[in-house]
Amino acid sequence: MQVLLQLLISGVLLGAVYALGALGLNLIFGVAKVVNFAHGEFLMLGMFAGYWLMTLTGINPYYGAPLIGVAFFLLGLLFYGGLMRFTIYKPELTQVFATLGLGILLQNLALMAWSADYRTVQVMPPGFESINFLGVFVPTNRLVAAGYAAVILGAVIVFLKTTFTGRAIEAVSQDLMAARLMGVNPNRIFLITFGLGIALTGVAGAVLVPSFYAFPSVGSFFVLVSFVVVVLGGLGSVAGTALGGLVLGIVETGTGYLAPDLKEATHFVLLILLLALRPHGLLGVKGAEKETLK
Amino acid sequence: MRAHGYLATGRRDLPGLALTLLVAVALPLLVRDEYYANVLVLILIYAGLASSWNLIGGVAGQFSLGHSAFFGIGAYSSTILYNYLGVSPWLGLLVGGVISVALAALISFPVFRMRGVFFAMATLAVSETIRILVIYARKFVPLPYSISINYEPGFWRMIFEDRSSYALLAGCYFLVCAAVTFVLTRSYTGYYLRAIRDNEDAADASGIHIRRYKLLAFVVSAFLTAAGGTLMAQYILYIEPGTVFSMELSVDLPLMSILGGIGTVLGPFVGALILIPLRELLVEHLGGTLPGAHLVLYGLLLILIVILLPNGLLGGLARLGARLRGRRPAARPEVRKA
Amino acid sequence: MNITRRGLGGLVGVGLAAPAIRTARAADVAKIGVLLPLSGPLASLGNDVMRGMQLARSFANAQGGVFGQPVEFAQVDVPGSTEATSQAQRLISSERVKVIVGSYASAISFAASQVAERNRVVYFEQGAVADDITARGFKYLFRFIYPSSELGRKCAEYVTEKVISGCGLELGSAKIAILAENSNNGTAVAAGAKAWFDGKKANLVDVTSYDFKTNDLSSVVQRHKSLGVDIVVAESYTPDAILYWRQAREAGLKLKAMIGNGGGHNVGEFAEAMGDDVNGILNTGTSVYINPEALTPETATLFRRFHDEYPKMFDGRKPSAHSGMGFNAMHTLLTEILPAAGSMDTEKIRQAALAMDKPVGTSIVGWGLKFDPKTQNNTRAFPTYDQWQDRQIRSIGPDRFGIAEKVTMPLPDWGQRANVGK
Repeated sequence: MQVLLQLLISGVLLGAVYALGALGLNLIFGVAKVVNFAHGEFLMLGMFAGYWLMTLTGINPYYGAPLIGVAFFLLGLLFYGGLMRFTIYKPELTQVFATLGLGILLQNLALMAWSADYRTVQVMPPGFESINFLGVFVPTNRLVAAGYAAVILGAVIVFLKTTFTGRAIEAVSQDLMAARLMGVNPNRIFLITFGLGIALTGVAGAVLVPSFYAFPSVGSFFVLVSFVVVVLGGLGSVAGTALGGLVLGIVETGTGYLAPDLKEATHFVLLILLLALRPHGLLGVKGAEKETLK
Repeated sequence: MRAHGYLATGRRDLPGLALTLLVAVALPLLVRDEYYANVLVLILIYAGLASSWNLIGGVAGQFSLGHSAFFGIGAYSSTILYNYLGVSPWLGLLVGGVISVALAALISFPVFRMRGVFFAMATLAVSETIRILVIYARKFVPLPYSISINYEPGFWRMIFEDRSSYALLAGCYFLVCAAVTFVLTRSYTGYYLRAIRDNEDAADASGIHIRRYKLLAFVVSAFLTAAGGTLMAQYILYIEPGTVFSMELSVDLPLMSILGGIGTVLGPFVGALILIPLRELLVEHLGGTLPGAHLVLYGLLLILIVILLPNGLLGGLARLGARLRGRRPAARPEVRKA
Repeated sequence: MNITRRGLGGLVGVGLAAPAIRTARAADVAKIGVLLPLSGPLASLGNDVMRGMQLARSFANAQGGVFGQPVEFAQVDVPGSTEATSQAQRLISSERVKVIVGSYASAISFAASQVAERNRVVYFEQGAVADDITARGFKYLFRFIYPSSELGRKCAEYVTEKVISGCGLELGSAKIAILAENSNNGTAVAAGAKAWFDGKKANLVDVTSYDFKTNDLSSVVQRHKSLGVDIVVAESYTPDAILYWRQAREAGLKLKAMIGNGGGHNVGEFAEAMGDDVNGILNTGTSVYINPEALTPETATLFRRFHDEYPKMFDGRKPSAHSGMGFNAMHTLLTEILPAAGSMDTEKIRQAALAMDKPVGTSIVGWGLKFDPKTQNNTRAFPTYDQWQDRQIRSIGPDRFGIAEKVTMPLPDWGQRANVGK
């Protein structure tokens, strides 16, 4: 019983990690319909940002994350204005490979700049790495990350439902033509979406670096699972990303206890099964899976 | 373009045919330097693989990101049969092909319900699952982690002493893939596939049997990709799960097709012809000094090429040709969904 | 001090002469092919090996190079085995090297050495451990390091002979678990260890493998907890080594001993990530933090020079075992094998390599050198044992190689490891 509870907690926290990492991707994917294959590299940059912030200024990435968020918002604007703008109205394959190229570029720039060494930060004081709650060990770093995930998720949902810009973003994600007819400027919306999406990714990276390690290839550890979370949860649905992450985290942890070799396979098996039974994802819009990639 | 019986062919096909025969048959017989022969072998095998991918990904418009599954199955099938049962890789190739066809048919049930990125993700998921399962299978089956094939040249062993023989074999492989693509695209099947690609719902409404044609393209693609896997295994003489089931391969095949011109018969070939020497060149000039420098340039070039030439090199050449002939080039496909 | 000044003077001399060298014909330099992963997921340790080789080159050039010519590297970056064949071929056909030193990872080694063999180019493998690399009957492939099954076996032997009793346990009852990442390396080490444990009828309660790119090992930690594991034998790369140990700490996993097998367990980043909690961990593998008194006097001098010059050449970095192995292979090649061969003739190089017969204690990592006539593996290479103390990795055996004053067993509890080794 104790073991089950522990596995459940571990799974939920892992799920929160996954959801946090996938949030920015979901926004960009769901709204601008852009498959950002450089997502892992933006996460990596966020991790390095968190590392350098702590190493150079002593500011804890948990406190510094909002700052990093602002910086990455600007980065996202640059990303859209400097690159993605040219691919939005082109065949979607162009986006796939343009972002792929960008990913390779960023990863190797990081390699040239910071070498391949693994950088870690120690945020929690010794002895405080986990809390013992009713006999279950709750790792504090992941708890904070989960807390961030919850807050950000909530904030994004509120933003999308209540503010004008937020609703404009949702409108564009649902029906671009109709949104245009309603007076929404799609280019501005795309710009903001990218800014927001990259900002979220940067924050995720910074908040996750105490639980992981910053090095140029770390993006590849997260990119596939982020895509699975997004597709599993349902394209464009923020709540879906959260749910998808949780499901993935719990199933992976359970499998890891019984057959650790197959842990990562659960991501893909879950995806295939779900898409076979419910092609639009857990909370996605029906028919979304019929959007073609031309 | 006139219909010659079953196929639509024309004089415009001649330069392409000439180029293909030149690179696939003439060059292997002429190139003697080991290094260039190696590059040629890789170009030709990849050209064949990319053409196979192009059948389902370009012509039928179903963007698969899981083709390394078929490649790996082909490599593993022929290698296991050869190493442990002494079966000639020529036969092993067929076995690998058949298994891949079976896999393609099996997964077509869930994955054909999806399109676009969902389809891509689903195929990627299949490929990764298979990779993990192959590693996991070692708990039950006494298979070594990596398998190496002894270098003993022999025609029936599909191992050759000099690279030109490999190049010729690879050239024939590519010719087969190109020929299959040519026949498929220039026949009525090609019309149906393109209709499915351009607008599946409209094609469905026109009475085209969607599933049949998608499946046809998919299984043919799977078979040819598996064959390429066998060839590569017999060339490198070493396979392990990480390399034959790699994501890199799954991404390289569509990349080459796009660079050259997706959906066209020779686009993938042109893509391979450009990409492989390009990579070699970059590594040669920048690779040794500062780690990562050559890849930075590679990423940059990728971005530029893909944005400036969305229809690949062949598409770009076609536009240039049209412009030179004084005709306004066809409008770039505006495919942004409203 | 004399040697250092001479060495430095030589380096300066070579440096000043460099422009002249560049314009010299290719025949005026001794070109050695170097094939390593310098980018991609293995880049961290690949670059470590490269640094060791670069130091060896500078030492050799300070003494006049090889055959009176300065040594230059024709180096290629091979992130994975897909590029290995092409790059090895390029080294051979375009750069026309006669000798290649590589490769760090087994997959890369397999593919690249195959190309070398077919082209009759000598290939020195410095650090890849998969057994079958040298099981192909190749005549031009020589390996400096021991194969991974031997590593696993030696590790398991240390566990049954020393660790179990050191922790106050008994052979039949101590619960042992093997945890290895599922690439070639991990699989072979795990198999070697398991074979030994089975032979000794040890109580092996779990053998688990996982993907080193995993984001979570808490379930594996829980598994070990549920089974009541006393001793973990691990083989990991760096990220997974850090991840497992961190999550073991978070879960309060109480082990009596944890023993790694090189990879991530003997690198500085592991210590940086874990702080004092790295202390007490044991390791089997190669080390450059051994006792120079166990080496021959000549080698002891080289050992000290290595440790002095490395931080100077590389911005204060401290050498790791991987830099040591890269250095060892390249240094032996440049200062002993090639001079004995007399020229870049591959047959002569082969013969010179086969004729090498140096006792244990003649390399900076403690090994000797004698290539087995059949497999061409170095029969005088052996793993050394270490323990992390004071956040440093210190050798504790085999006996005379140890520098640690004391070995602390069993593992103290989390947060109480500051005094390990005292």
